[in-house]
Amino acid sequence: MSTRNQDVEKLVGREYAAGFSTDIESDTVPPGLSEDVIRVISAKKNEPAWLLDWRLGAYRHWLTMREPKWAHVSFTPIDYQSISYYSAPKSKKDAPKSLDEVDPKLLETYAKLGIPLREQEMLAGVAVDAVFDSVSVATTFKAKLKEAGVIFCPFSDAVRDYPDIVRQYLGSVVPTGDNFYAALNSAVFTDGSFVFVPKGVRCPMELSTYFRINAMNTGQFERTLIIAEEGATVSYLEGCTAPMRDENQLHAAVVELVALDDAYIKYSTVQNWYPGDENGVGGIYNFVTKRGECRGKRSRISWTQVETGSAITWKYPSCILTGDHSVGEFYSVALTNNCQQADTGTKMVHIGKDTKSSIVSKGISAGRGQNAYRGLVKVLPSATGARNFTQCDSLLIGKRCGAHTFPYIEVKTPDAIVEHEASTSKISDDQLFYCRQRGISEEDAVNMIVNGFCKDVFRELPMEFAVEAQKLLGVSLEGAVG
Amino acid sequence: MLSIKNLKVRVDGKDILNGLDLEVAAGEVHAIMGPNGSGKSTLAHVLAGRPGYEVIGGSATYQGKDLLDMAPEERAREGVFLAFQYPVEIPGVNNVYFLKAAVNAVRRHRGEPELDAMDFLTLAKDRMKSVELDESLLSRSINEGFSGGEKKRNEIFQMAVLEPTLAILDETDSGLDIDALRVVAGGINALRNPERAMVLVTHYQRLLDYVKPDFVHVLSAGRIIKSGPAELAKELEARGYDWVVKPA
Amino acid sequence: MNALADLLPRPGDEAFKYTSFQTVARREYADPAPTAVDTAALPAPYGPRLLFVDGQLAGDGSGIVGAAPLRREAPHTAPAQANALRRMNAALASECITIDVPADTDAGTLELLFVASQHPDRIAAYPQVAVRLGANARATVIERHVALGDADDFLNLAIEVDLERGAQLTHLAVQRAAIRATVASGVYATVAQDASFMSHAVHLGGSLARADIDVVLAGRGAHCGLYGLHLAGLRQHIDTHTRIEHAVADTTSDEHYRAVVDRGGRSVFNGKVRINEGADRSDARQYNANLLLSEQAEADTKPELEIYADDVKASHGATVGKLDESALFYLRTRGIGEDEARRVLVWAFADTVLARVPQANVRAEVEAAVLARMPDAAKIEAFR
Repeated sequence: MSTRNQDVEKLVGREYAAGFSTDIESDTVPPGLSEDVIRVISAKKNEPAWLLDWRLGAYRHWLTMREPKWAHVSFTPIDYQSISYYSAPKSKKDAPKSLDEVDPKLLETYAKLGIPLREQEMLAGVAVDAVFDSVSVATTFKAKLKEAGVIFCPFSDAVRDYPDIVRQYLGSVVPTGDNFYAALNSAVFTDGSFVFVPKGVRCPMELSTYFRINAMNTGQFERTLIIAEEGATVSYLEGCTAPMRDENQLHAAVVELVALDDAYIKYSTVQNWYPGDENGVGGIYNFVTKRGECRGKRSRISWTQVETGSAITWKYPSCILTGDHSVGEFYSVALTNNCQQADTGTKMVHIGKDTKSSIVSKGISAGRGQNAYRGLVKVLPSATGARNFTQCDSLLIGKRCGAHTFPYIEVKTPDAIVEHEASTSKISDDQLFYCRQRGISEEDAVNMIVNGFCKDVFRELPMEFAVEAQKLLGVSLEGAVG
Repeated sequence: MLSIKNLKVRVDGKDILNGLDLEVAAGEVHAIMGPNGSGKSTLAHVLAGRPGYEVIGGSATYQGKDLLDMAPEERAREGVFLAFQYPVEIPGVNNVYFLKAAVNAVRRHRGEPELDAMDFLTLAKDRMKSVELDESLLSRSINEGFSGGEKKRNEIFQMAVLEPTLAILDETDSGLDIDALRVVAGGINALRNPERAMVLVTHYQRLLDYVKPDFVHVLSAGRIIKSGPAELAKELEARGYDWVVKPA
Repeated sequence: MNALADLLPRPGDEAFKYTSFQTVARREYADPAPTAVDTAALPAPYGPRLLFVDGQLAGDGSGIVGAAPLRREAPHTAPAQANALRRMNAALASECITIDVPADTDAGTLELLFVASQHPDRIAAYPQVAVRLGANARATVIERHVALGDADDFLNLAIEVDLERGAQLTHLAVQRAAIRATVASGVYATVAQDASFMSHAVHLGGSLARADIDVVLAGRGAHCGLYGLHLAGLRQHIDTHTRIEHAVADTTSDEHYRAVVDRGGRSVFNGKVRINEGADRSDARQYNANLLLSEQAEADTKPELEIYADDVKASHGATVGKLDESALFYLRTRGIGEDEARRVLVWAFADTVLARVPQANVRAEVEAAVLARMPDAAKIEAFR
């Protein structure tokens, strides 16, 4: 364990309590999962007993569960005993020392996306002092947030500093036994983000991963909890547009959002984990559970996602619309190229009166990519006056890809209106020719048409994110046409 | 400027052009007329480089270069413009954005500095007036939800912005009412100049009432079988095509 | 649990996500006994009739005459990917009644009448029918279910359809089974080049009714059109599952199903369209609309697309809702009372599908049957 690593830890403000990690030399727990491993994780993080019990409960439940098989994806089974469940922060020993050691293809992509050099180093995981830069930035942000009363910190800090809030909300939207991967996450999560916006506070800035960049490497089992109290508003940006260097094959994160009366949470994701190579070798399995509960009246939760990375994406950011007049939204662009597979969509569960939800899903398949939208709109008898509109479009590029739509609509009240529309199209030769006749190259024409196809989703993204997302689509589609 | 010699083109296994010759000099306006299926639109498309149009013989030279050897976008950047008979709709792609990309692709090609958004908008708004196109169309998706007349006017507007050297207008008059026709014709006339050549492909003579061509050619079975001055169009209107196609 | 439990769809089977056959698994059933029915009590035939009493072919089956000879064959096996009900039918059927329409022949209208007799025991039966049309042959097959009693029988019917090049088959299903009956009917069609399969189904009866329509468009130019209506009232669960596979290029399909669900009823629709790799220029359209009239009414719909080719047109739409308030208001401003306006709109919703039934006498029957389920039918009649 290098001293540099410890320096970094200090700088990013992770002050682990005394007694931490004296019994084990390395900061990485050997591969394998057992109650003992969970006890070690919990002890290392100096967690309170209730959280350890919570983890163990999740683990015991997980043991009784099986991996879900219904998704329209296929992959070789994961050996859960070969994964190391604690490695925080990730060892920098194997990290490249400079950008010279990084895969040139990756750098080429960064250049195309116009990522500044310093940021490139961070994204590529270069073990240099890049992080030092953003610390000061982070500090400025933190002061401003503190002034507003917003809590934004690593999850483990929240467990230490705000245990009552964490205990009240953790697992209240995604119960420990919700699904196989959520149970696994609950048992072994190492860190993540915690956001608390108190009553009446409009968070003064977008809470972005960029700010959190040095607290990244929280491992493959990230846990995020965002709470917006009555009348509070917050916009959270997750991910980054450049491909992330990462050795973990399995990512099983859990994100929980809670919106109380009149609160609004906007959660935007741009996911561009390593997708594997052209032949489908390698790449991340992104098995994520994201769910928000509109617990309060007139609350609103909005998910926007641009999913271009990962070998396999399995995620359904959902809204439980408990509060009367609450609103759930889901805007998604998912792109699969080469051998990528995505099975993604949302669940909108209408419980409160006059609840509204809208779903806009844009799937793009290229190469041998398989792209499935899977969504559930469920209207319970109590949800009188509920409304849902779903628009689900697929764009196919090439002869060997697949685009699939699996919507489930369940309505148990007559006083609801649910509408679903889906269409499939390709980039027509006529469209390409038209653009080329006006002097635009085929590649630019494809990008233009694809971005036009995704427009309804991009306009939901914060401005600078939208611009990057557009560039990202272009990069991700390279070689898909012609 | 454009020299077509013995051009033979096959589409979907069918021979459409069977040895077409045409010479177009700068500043000239040529009208290509002919009955349905004579190959008028094929000529327009093959000059613009539409994929799927197989050139099986002959040549087309544009400003001394082999036109048929160029990709569609290269031809466009060299100043060849095709006003489509059926302009395609491209959902979600904004008209302004599209046209700015096109203008700058041409400018880059010519080694000229690219226009920024403000300069482009000034240019676009100025040109819109010439075709009486509503400014709100600028911010809509390309041709999406446009009426037939708006689509055609949008084509002429794009031509005005792109300032081509050789403009090929494919049935630009079809589907226009008399007022729209007058506006479109006005737009075309405004663009006539000694450096620019135009090829008007049309079935009817009525566009030629407003845009007076220097030459009229009759296309039949993939060949130009008669050429003459503007008056030829009037004669065709009065007597139909049969007397040229099947001389007594 | 009875002996059938192992053959019935199991909980967790995605093809039966919203429809459970566990009540069948809990009941005891007898085999059908030869029963004579009073033919005078049966509806007038639409054409040469094949009569099945309690799922058993009555007589020697000589009812079908002329152009479409009949054979009694050993039951056909189900393909490996068949759903549980079809496998069950194949396992338990005693024979397959095969109708062969020779090439270039118009067999006209044939009727398969399934009658539930009045009988003391609860009966389970597994009739199997195969319809084959030679090249350019034509036929209309009417699958008609009626009940003389109110038995809670279980009928699991499978109809295999094989259409050769250019053949045209119209399938009309009029399902008016007993209100306590469980009816499963599956139509499994293979459609060759330039052949077409049209199906119009109206489901009015049964406490549990499940229809499967599975079509493989196997040759260029093959087409299918699937249309249907569910009328689900108190303690009725009506489920239609369709699966259309565009196996090759230049195939087209069109689907339109509607459901009207009243208090205590439930409608399920699952429509899957699959377009295989290489099936370019496929054109697939699907629409499903559900009207919930009351509380404790439920509709579940799952329109699915699975597409492996890029040069295709595929779309689907689904809606669940109540009557259009603005239409209701419009009618009221024209002086029509609210109750009546509602009935008129419900009728209009249903008739969108019924009006497509191509044969006038069948259409008249189903329209009358749907109207009879609406109170004050006579008034609506005036709007037709």
